[in-house]
Amino acid sequence: MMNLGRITAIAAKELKDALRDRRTIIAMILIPIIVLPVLMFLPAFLASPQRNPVRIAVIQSDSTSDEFLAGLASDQIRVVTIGRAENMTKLIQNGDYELGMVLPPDFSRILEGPDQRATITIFVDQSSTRGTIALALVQDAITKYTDRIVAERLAKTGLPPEALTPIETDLHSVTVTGTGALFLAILLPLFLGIYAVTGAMYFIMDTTAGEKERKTLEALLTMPATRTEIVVGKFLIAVLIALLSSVLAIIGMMAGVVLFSGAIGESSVPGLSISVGNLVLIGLATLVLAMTSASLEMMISIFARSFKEAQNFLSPLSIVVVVPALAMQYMSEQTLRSFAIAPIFNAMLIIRDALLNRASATSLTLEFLSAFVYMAIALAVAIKIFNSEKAMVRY
Amino acid sequence: MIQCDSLTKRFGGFTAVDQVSFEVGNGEVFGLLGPNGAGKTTTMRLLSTLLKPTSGTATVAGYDLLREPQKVRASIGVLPEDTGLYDRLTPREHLQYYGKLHGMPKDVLRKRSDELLDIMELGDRANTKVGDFSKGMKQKVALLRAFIHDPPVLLLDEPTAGLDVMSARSIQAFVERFRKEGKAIMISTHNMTEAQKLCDRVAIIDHARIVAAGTVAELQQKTSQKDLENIFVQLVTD
Repeated sequence: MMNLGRITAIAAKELKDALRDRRTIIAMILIPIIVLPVLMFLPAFLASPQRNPVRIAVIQSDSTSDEFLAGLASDQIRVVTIGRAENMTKLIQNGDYELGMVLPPDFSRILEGPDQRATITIFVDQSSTRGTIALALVQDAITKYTDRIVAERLAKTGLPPEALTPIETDLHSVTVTGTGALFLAILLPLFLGIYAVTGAMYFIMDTTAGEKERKTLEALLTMPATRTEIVVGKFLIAVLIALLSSVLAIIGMMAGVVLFSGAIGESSVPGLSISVGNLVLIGLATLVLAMTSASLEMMISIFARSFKEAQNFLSPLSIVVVVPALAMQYMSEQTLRSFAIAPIFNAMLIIRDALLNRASATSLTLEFLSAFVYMAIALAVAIKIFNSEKAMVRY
Repeated sequence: MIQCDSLTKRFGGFTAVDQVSFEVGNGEVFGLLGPNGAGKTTTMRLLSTLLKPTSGTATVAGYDLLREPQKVRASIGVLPEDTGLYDRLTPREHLQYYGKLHGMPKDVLRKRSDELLDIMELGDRANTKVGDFSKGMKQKVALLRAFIHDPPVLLLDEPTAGLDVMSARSIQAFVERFRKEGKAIMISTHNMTEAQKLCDRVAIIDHARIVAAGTVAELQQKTSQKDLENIFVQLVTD
């Protein structure tokens, strides 16, 4: 029989102790809420042409290309005309400009004719993010200008625009939810998985292997609490911390979207609407993820002799958890279903299906049931190790 | 009280405690004396149910080690070899935590904590995290933890090892005080002066076996030595 009072006392002490530990706080709060959103959005924010227009150096052969250039300049593209003698390659390699352009002589005259073609030479470093952004913007502008010229040429010959596009495609999207949900269906299982695994990892190592190493466990084991009560009390706080870190990660992600999306030029995540039922499912799956990883980590960490050994055993998990999240994107629906009872994978699948509005009662039952079976096994093993004097009292 | 009956513990081929038998009565301080590795700590760990005996058994406060380990744990106060305190908790929080694990009601627990902290003169440091404490102060807090639930039996492993004279004295006075209250107290020690001062009876353990037991006077008679240290050396080298 488990004594609730003792479990509560153990859980309350663990929480108090954890909240006073700077390292747990950093792993639980600071990293999920700050580090990842910043890592995700800062590069886009910094490279964004809305915030910081790309600079283009242009060498004109004569003034016939003035009109084209005037159309090219925008709030995202700043055009600077430079002298013919300048070394374009060097200028771009030095980072003075993101892109260079050489316009041929008689530019507008060539375009006025019915059958001639003007060649624009472009210099760009495609290994730089800003360079590729500049190239995309410039090519976009050139296409628009070309379309206008083509329309004018066609008009002169009397041909309708359809003459150039004999076949047209008409796309009917059958995606249930918008692209935003699709984006989240890839990212959310990954992030929630990572935070379920890493959020409480430090706490778990500290409260099991750490307690063993510091010999505080020996005093605890001489108390009337049973080993099962001790494991359960610690497990509850581990789950709470993993859950808290996952929730904070979601808040961090949303804050990242809100903070940086304006600067990037996207108004908000498009096409995202989740029903309350699906939201509840995501919450439950997050809880299951936290419970599965906490029980698994406790099992491994209790076995370790020291904090360092626990670290060696557990650190690979934070990389391993990425595998199912990534693999999910490349699997067919049938393959995915056959993995529905794999640990961690099952909870990630619930999150993905909820986001894409694809969850079915049969697969949910399988996924939740299997998750609870794994958790029960891991906890039972953890308690068994806790009961083994060989593992607990070393000499 | 404690009754040990042929208590034996083997780790693989190594015998750590071999057929150890002794009794500790209420109001008695019993000293387990022996060199390092003789089996003192293992005996303590067996009596506190951390380890299961390979053979033999013991009753502690009337409860059998093997059949009623939880009741045994409820009846003992243990000072382990290492204090095993949580650096980020204060002395009062330690007492509250372990008191709750013993199922003590809140008001009783508060009163008892105050009382113990006062006796040990830790009242003004009761709310400071123990991570900042000296070794002596930590040892005092660990000792209070063993007494929080007012257990009839106490197992104190090296209670004054490595402490300064003042800390050692206040711990000895504390033990003396509770002996008078009728507790059965077992201490393991290296310190012969301490054993001579505190213990009503001692047992000398060497290579996992008890080689002699009795009051200090009895051992003096047996070995024709006056000083406990000489008695010890003679018994252990024989």
